Amino acid sequence: MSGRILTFLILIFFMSLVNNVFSYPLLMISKDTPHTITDLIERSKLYDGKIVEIKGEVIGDILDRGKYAWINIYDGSSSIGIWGVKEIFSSIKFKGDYNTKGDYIKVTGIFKRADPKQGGELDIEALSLKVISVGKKIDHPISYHLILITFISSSIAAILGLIWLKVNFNKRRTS
Amino acid sequence: MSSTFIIRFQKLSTVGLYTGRVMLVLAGIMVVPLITSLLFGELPIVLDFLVGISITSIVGFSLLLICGRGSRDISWTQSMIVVSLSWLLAMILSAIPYYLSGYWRSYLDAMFDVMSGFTTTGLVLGQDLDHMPYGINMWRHLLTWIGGQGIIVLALSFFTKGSPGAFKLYVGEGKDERLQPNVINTTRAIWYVSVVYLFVGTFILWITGIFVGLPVIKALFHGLWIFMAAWSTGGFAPQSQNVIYYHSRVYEIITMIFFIIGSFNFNLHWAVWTGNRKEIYRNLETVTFSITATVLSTIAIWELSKLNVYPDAISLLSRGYYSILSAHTTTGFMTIYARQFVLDWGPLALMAITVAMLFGGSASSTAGGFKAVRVGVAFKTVIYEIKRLLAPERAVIVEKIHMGRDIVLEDRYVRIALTIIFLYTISWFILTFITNACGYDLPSSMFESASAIGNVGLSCGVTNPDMPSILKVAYILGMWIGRLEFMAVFVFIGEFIRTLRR
Repeated sequence: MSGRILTFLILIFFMSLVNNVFSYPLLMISKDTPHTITDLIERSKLYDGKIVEIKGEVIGDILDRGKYAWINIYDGSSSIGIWGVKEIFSSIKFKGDYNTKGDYIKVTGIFKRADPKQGGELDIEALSLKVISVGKKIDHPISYHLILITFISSSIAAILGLIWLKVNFNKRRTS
Repeated sequence: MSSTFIIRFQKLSTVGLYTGRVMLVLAGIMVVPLITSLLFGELPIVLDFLVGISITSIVGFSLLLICGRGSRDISWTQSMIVVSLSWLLAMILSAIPYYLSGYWRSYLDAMFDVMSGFTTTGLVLGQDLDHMPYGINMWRHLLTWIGGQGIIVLALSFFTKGSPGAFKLYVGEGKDERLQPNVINTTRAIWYVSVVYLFVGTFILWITGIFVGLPVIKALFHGLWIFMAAWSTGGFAPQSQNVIYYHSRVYEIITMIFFIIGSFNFNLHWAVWTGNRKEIYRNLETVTFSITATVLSTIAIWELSKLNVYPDAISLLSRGYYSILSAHTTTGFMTIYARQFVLDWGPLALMAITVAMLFGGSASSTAGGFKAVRVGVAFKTVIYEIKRLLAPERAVIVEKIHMGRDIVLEDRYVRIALTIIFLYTISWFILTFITNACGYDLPSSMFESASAIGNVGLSCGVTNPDMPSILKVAYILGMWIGRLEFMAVFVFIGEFIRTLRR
């Protein structure tokens, strides 16, 4: 019996090394995951130091800091910074901007209300990242109505400008 | 046609003539974001700006054609009306590209953000900032940079040849410094100082941006926009997370240096520029700002330490001290999320930052609020009164202030300072009441109202596209009144009521 318990404990020990479960204090995945970023900010004291799971679009750039990097993600409610070892972010292909819809990702990491390693920032230290859907280029079609409005308004402006120039020219000539 | 009608039309024509010129200047400025959009191939945005330029030009040319007979000589009342009217029209017309771009839910939201930019407030209703095109971002930051120096100042600098009413228009926009004997040269000096700083600041932030991990071109544009927002104490940023996006203490410190410099009086800039460096230590405004910033940040940091909000000194400085200075200079750059002010900061720290927002930066700068000179004069008056009570009855007590030179503290200075402080405070109470009546809690209402009236831009979460329209209108008025410092707006409203009565 004691041999089985010993085997079980050894197994747990090795599993913990693989999953990094014991490397952080007060860890537990909250039951109501995934969280929204707004929820994390609103209840930051509750989630502080805990493992959380959030989903969102990668926005902006991957900010390279040597061995580590930062990304920012937006989940429709708010944005948050996620930092971690650079390799974690290597699967990200598309980063959101005007012309691009960024990759939609799922991040599991430790939420910090005031991260001492990052000058007190509210952030998530990424443990794992999964791309749920790959981003894409965004088309920005030009509306026919907009072209028409542009043509009409610029024509009127040009005519008025010419009239004003003529009036001014005549004024100067008479004076 | 009766003579009264002709006289009234003449007066209106003068107002229309100057307003028309300002509108043409505005149309000219829109070319900058249009070129930016062209450079980045943002074709729908190019059309948005073409429509904006065309409609603004139509308004400008129409006013010039209708009011062409207006006098170039302008009275004080007319100058105040020109300033107020120009700001209102500029808000309506500058919102065209915003609205057409689709990043603002309504035209009211677009106008809100324009007024927020022009007044260097920095409150934002625009949506999806992280996907915004370069052209629109250029327009947002350009508005705040130009608004900081003043739209009228720009129009006077480059598009008038020393018209007789220039000084009156200049004062109407809340400026009164005389760097040069001539007001046109003064406005040009203001732009000269600002443009030199723009190049230096953009370069520093560009290099830092590359080091924090931004691509080279993006780092350049972010550097330019963040500098514009810092120098004009505007607080806009190209990403929704504001300064947090960069996750860099160095980037934050550089922005802090620039927004502190930007909040200084242009007279002080000019004095230092022309070699009088001692003025920094002697000037009433820098002394007042140093004292109030130290006292208020000490209160905030003490409270934050007591509540264990931040784990160490660096975090305290990076979040607490930065926020207090951002509030005091009326910049509005944020290194914490909006709701953290209410959720994490204790009541004392929240009060300290609210008072900092109300105190504001220096007069004749890009900053808002009471202004350091008025706070300084109010304190000096208290000291003077105490001295007077303690001195023998026949003693003559003279109190002096230093603003470029020693000036005897006269009753009229005290009267003006206290009147403006009183008007700001009353406006803040009214705005707080309206916010509170819209269903927001009192601390949030006080915080957000101080931010709007003081042209700060820090938010604790009240300002968002879902807020009631009446509150959006109230904040637009608050930002407008706060930036023009009441008088121009009061004259405009008074004249409007008088016209209606006739």
